[in-house]
Amino acid sequence: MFGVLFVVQLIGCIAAALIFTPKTWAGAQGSTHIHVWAGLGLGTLLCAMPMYLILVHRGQVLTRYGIVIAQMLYSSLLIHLTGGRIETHFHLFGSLAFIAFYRDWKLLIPATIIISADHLLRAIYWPESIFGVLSASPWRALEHAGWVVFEDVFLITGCIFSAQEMQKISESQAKLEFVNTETEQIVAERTKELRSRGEELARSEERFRLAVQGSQHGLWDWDLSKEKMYYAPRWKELVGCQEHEISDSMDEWFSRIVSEQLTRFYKDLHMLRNGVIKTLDTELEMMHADGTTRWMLCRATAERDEEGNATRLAGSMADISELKIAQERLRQLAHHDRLTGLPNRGVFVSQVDKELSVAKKNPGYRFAVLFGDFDGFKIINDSLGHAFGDSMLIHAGEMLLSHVKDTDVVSRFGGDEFAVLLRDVEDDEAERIAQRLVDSFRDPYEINEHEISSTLSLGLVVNGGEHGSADDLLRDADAAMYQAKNAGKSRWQLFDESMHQAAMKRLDIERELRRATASEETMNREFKLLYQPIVDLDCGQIAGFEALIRWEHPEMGLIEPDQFVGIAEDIGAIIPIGEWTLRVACEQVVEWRKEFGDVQRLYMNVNLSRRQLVHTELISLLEQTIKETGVRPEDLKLEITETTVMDARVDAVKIMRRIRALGIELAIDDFGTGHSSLSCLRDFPIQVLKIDRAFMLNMSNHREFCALIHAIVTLAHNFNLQVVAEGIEDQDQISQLQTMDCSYAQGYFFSRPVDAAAATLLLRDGLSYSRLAA
Amino acid sequence: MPSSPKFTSILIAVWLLLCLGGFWVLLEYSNTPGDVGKPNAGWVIPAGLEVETEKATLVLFAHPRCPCTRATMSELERLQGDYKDAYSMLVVFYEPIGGGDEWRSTDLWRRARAMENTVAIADPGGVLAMDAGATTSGQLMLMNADGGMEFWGGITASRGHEGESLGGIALRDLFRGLDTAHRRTSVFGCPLSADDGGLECIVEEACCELTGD
Repeated sequence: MFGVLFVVQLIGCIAAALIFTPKTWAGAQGSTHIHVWAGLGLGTLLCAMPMYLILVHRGQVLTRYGIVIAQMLYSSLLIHLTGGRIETHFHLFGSLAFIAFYRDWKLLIPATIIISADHLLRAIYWPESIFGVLSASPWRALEHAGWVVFEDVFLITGCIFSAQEMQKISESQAKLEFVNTETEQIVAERTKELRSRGEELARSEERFRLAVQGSQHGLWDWDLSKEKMYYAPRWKELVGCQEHEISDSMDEWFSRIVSEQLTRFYKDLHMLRNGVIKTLDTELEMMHADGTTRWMLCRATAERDEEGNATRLAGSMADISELKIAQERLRQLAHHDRLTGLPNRGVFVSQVDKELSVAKKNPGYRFAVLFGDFDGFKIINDSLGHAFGDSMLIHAGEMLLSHVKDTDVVSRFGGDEFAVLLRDVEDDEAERIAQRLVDSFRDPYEINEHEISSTLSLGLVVNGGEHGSADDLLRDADAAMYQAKNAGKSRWQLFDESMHQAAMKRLDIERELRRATASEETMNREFKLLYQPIVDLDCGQIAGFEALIRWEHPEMGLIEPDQFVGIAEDIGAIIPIGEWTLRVACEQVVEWRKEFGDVQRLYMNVNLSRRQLVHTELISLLEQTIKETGVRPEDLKLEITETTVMDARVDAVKIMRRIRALGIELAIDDFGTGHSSLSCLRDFPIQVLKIDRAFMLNMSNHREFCALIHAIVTLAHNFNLQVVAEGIEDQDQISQLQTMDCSYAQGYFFSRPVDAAAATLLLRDGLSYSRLAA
Repeated sequence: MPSSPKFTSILIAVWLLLCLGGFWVLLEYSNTPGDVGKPNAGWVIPAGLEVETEKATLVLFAHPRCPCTRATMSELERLQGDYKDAYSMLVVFYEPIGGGDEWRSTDLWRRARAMENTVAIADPGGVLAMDAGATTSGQLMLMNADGGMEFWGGITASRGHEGESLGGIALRDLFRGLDTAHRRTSVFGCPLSADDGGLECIVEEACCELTGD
């Protein structure tokens, strides 16, 4: 503003000079008046400094004072250029007012000083230029100064008041700004908070919307005061209706609920409305527009006024038809066999328990349980495939069902095991049905264009409430079935107490086996190894021993292997027993090696069960045993029965090859009793063949057995296998074996299994056989 | 642009000095009077002019375009307001030879014509002024009814500045019948002729024409 004003004043100066004194004349010759040059030069000079200060030192005190000086000088210049006109003197007062714009009274001081100095000097030296008179009296000068002071007083007072006002305004403004800032902060925080809440609400609504959308729930809202119902579009969709097809009446809903459930739903709503229940969660069967029924899950809650009266009921409805079907399917799967559709073991057991309860409450009431499996089913499954086996099981289930009453229960337990519950049987009805069932499977029958023959063996328990539980019953039926199988299969066997005793004994052995094999200490105390020599028929010397385990039970006495090995195999105790046997046998052969040196040929045969053979730790066990006992691998032979190998054929061959890789020889035990004896010779990495004792027993009486043994020996030699004949009991057998070129034999004729000390004596003193031979 | 405080202070000091210098030159100019000239005591008002010679006659020699003379004219207007019956007035305006109407249409001419008891005439070539001895515009000559010269000088205190002056005071005293100590005062105005000797030649030519030489 000051800059503009100075420029305007410059123009004013020049204009004044041009108007009042454009030229000076000397006769007819005119020349530019000195005032024009003064207006231009001095005016520009007066203008230049404030402009410079404004541009370079804007806002500084120095600039203000520079402007004040320039402004006052401008007044002087203008007054001069206009010939000291009274009117132009007002510019001076205007300049003071102009300076007062700064609201800084201190600036008026130099302005006043300049005026005073100017007027004082003029009053002294050129009074007419100020007062219009040639001589100015001091009073007039004082008066003149007084008017200037007069104006100054007001201006200065105005400046001070203005400054104070400004200060107050500034303070108020500062306060306002502070308050404003605080308010803005609060507003900003509140806005942020509200925005945050808004966003959270929006997110929440979005989540709710997505959740509702995702859950496929149809919402409804019943305004009880207006008796109006709101059905969400999804609700209408759930019942197969368009938006316009459903009114806002509650009847739209009630009319779609199947009549059997309507009363219950009324009650539920009534209880919810009256606060008996806080929330409603029920399943309804509703009519769909397409004529079908759908299961709906209905959930609701009530909104209440201050007095607790319900004002609204609101909730959701979801189609759970598929869930219902899945539940039914699950229930079916949980209670029925997936393949045959027959009730499973759980259902069967619960049914038997019920029958037991009935029988206990009703003396004379009898029911029966049949438990059975199909003979040779495994062969069928392996040879014709599992699909065919499944077909056979389905057929078997249908066959069983066809021979019992509707009230009876036929169940599949798994594999080829079936159980039948015969309710309320009289006299020998159960036995007759059992016979009928066995007979029905005796003749070959056709499945999928295959004629098959798979007979049924059944165990029968007839009960009048004597058993404690269904499991006991089933256990006895299983025991009876076992007997039926042992008795030749394709038959039924009625359970009697001896079977129970046998089963009890088996349980005792199981329990004791677990105890005895729990630690190495009990094993060392209760188990012992006996050694039966294997004799080289060429020289009559002992070539090795077969280690045979015996269990000396502290209460039951000596238990033979055939009484506990099978059970140990079933319950897994065969693993620790096998490890113990292997270690003790190896230690024994090492001990003999130390005593008799390497001169005498000596090896140890140790039996390996099926479970041991497929045990994952077998190879590492063998490595560890060799390492720990120091036994030479070539002094160790592992005997595996032909059946063992056949049960896990592929895995067994792999494991046998790894055993051979350790340097341990393998022997097939009980050769000739299995199904695929000859294929063993070809496929298995064996070195020794032990001919089953059954061949030796009949060798003397049946020439064909001799021929068979001869053929086996010849075949074994062709495969580079050693042959050991088991069960040798007389000299005649030895002579015949020698004629057949059989190299090794084992049996009571040479020695019964003896303990380590006796075996040592045999090694040291030689066999009586050898003496006889000699 | 340099902006250090030292530079600015020096700049302000120089600026202030220049300003004061400028003002000094202006004041010097304003307060420097023109050539007073040598008054011709025997000068008479040219015949044929309608000037009342029964009373004192105030003669103003003026340049029609001199800005400084405006102040003189203002003072005369003021004086006439107070003492219009005490004197008649003759304004002799310089006019160059062949100056024409444009020299007679200035504000000074208009103001002179507007005054009462005033006769304004043109003075081509400044012959009358030179004859009277006036060389500066604003030169006043007061002649009493007898033709005697009572006053010779200017009535402004400086160039172009109105206000009280010695000349003004003197005239007022004289019009009031009082004596005055300031019968000769300084004149502030433009020269009535260029100082090139041209005027003398013109005057000589005019004399020759009159005498027939």
